[in-house]
Amino acid sequence: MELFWNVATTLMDPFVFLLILGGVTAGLFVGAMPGLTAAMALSVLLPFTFKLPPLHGLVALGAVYMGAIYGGSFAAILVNTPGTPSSIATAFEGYPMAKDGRALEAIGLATVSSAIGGLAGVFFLLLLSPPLARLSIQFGSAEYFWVAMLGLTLIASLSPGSTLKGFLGGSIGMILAAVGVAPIGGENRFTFGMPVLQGGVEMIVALIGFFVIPELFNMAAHGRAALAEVTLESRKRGTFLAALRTVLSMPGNLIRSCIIGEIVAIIPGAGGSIANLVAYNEAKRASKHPERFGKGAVEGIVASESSNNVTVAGSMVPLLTLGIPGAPPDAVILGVMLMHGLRPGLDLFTVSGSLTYGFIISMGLAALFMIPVGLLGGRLIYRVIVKTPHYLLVPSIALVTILGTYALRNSMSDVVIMLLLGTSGFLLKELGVDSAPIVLGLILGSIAEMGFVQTLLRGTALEHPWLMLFENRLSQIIIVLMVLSFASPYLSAGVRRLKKPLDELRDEEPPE
Amino acid sequence: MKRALLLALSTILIVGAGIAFAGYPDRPITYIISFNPGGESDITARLQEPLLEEVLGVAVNVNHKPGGGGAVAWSEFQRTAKPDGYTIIGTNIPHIIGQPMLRKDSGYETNGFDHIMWFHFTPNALIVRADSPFKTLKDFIDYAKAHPQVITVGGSGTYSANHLETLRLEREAGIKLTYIPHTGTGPLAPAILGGHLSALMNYSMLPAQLGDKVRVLAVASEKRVEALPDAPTFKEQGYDIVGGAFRGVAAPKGTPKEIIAKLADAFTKANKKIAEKQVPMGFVMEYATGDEAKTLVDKMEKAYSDVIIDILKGREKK
Amino acid sequence: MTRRANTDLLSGILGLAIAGVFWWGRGDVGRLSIMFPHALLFLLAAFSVALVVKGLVRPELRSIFAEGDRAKIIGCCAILFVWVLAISYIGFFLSSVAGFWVMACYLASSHRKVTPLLAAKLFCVVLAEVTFFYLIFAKLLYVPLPTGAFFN
Repeated sequence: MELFWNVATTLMDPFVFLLILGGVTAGLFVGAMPGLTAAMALSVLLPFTFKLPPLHGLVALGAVYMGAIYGGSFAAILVNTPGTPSSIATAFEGYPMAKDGRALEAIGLATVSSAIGGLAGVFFLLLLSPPLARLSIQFGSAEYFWVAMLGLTLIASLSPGSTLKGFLGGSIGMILAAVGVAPIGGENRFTFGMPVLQGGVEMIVALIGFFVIPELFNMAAHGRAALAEVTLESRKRGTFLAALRTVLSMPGNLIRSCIIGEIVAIIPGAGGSIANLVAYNEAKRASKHPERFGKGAVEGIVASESSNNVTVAGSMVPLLTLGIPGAPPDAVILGVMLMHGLRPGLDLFTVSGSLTYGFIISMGLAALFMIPVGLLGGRLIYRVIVKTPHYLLVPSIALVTILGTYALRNSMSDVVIMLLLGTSGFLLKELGVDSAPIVLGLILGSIAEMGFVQTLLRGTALEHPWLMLFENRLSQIIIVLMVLSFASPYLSAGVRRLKKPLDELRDEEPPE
Repeated sequence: MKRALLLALSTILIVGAGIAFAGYPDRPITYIISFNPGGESDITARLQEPLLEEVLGVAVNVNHKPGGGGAVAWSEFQRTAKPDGYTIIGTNIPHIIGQPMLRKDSGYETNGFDHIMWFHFTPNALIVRADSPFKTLKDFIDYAKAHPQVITVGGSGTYSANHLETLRLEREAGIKLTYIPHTGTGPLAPAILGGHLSALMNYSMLPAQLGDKVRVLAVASEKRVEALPDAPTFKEQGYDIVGGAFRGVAAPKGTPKEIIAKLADAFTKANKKIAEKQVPMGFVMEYATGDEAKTLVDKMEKAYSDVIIDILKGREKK
Repeated sequence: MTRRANTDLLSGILGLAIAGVFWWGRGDVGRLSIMFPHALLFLLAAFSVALVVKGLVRPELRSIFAEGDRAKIIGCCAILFVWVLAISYIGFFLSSVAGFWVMACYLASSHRKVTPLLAAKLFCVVLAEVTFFYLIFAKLLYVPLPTGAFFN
């Protein structure tokens, strides 16, 4: 009880409130800009947090992180470019909605879903840390490989039209991931004699290249940005209460997406970028109207935005209990904690309890603060984008993109790579090879390779090393999920075909 | 007359040079870190930054240029950095030894730097889970002798300090292990705690962080590490294995000696102050400057050369 | 003008080309480093061949490069590349002001005639915007933007 009181008093500090508010706002703008990501924002903020006392520093980082993951939805909805990799799926539904004049509705849904997701993540962290931490260390190299394979089955659903082209894109993405130093073996592959390529293709660089650049070219070609003015009806649906009602009307989707977000979050190394795609895919599979997806299905946005915000607090489960970062921004938070002498583990929750719980709860507050900041900021950003003529919007986005890509690793070569990938992405899109499978392949390629080769190495002493891939119970579960995920579109189509003659028979029966 | 002229001329030159160098530093210095923010190199640099600024009197800007395990930044540094003392870069042993030797097109050379100082050392440590059947190094080695390649040892990176030390252990003890590289130290903790690996060969900071969840069978340092008082060294147990990651800072080749000396002085002062934060985390402070810095590089090169030659020979066979 | 092409065939050929380029650049590396990429290149080649076969047997013609003013795309692309490459020579600020302004004028020309007055107004906007972002990134966030070899 005393702990609760301590935490409450530390949080009631107006400075802390301001930090959270400021953090969420800053995070939102960072996330909304294509090219700037949560991890980047946190690492930039890092030196400033050293000057703050530990709780304030952590609170600021947590708020920025929460805001950034939410902010990515703005760029996704308004400009069809995910602001962070955690909002890739949001663009699939949000942008078509914006084109139909339903931009504010989409923003409202994204806001409410993100807030609920953020709160859910905090809830999991507070109450379920110990069992979740135990689950997270069950993931070994074999499990990573199969999770990557499971992720790759999403390619089939992300390529409406041509699954073959989708897999073509996916393999291109995976090969791009292999450029640079081999994670096992330590030698240079595909560097074509250029030392700078040892750094490989950074995921964000590819994300920006493949999603932003083609969209810029499209806007240039059409001579206008694609947004339509928001209709009055849509504006009404974009208010907080209306959005809340819509989101709460799909509890199954919401709960499922939050759980998916949490599970992905506790897998060290996977984060919002994978969570949003898996949640989106599951929402599509479970939906009664899958054909609406891709044209503005609200279920898609809810799934994507709730799951990605769960990962903010969710990925801290392995971080706080075991010192293992669950997602890239967590590495920065870990650094700050170690700097202040905070050791992850039991001590964190007992000796430094008030600090830790204060930090966790501050993230919940951040999630709540996102609602007013987001709805207001959203309208503001929307107005700015709609009013800006395309001949200023396109180069503005180009500018921010160049800055963001450079700031990632202080590397001009990254910017050049981004442009090259972007141009190729545009050409590939014209040929029907979509960007999403390529980026997915890139994200999952290195995870798959590490998992595969590590597992084989672990089995060196066995006669058939590759059997290690199937050894663990958890691996087997994931394999089953993977097969189901891959087969389900065919299964449901098959089921429907079986039902058709039955339905027809029923219709033909003469009434008794 | 001529001698006086000569004397005057040389005095003017020396004083002039002194003034020119006494002017150093008069603008901000860029301190490049070739790894990601939040990592150990970064944290150390951030701790050093304010202290360096105090001693040198100018701003010190920490820049990150991650990629290729450091190789991207080191190759660009050797190619483009000017030897005027305003650009310095963090360096790591054995990375700068292993990479040029074992990787094609790494883009730089081990001796292409003017080393300023090596400021700390994280010795390698052989770690097992607390409930592991291996209670001592001897248990470990005996089992390995009886079951070659069965013991899986995880570490950070390929041909890194962890990897080379594992190979050295194999050589010294006459055993065969299976080394499994991971990207960085992060993935190692869940791997050992989840029982996916038998042991880890990683740096002394990890056991300091994980506490009593793990047991350290041996540390590769001369003396016991302060943060791990119960961990015996390899030397104590009869194996001459001393190694780990050294972190230091270097200037481009050809930087004037006076500037290097000034920087070395600043880093030494900074090092003394950050020791109180770093020692409990598991670091061992070092103060190798000037010629000692170069000697350290040569010494470590020799120490790992057997292992590296084995690797190269193994490759040729294919 | 719509152009219809056999995109299955084209993407298959492109896939094979990409696989070829990467195969050539795979480097002389050991088994552990290359086993996975080998598998990937094989898969890429397999999917490409499948697409080529589909393109020959059951082609689906798709219109490509059909939407909008294609010249603008090429123009934009060229401006972007020049902009980025110029950064290493004349520094971030100058090349961004130049690149942004040229792109803005170029894109505006698709709707209206770019009078000197408009160009001047655009230039002011560009200058303000580039300065704004430059200050944030270079001064607030300490990102070391390139100042250009020309000035060093």
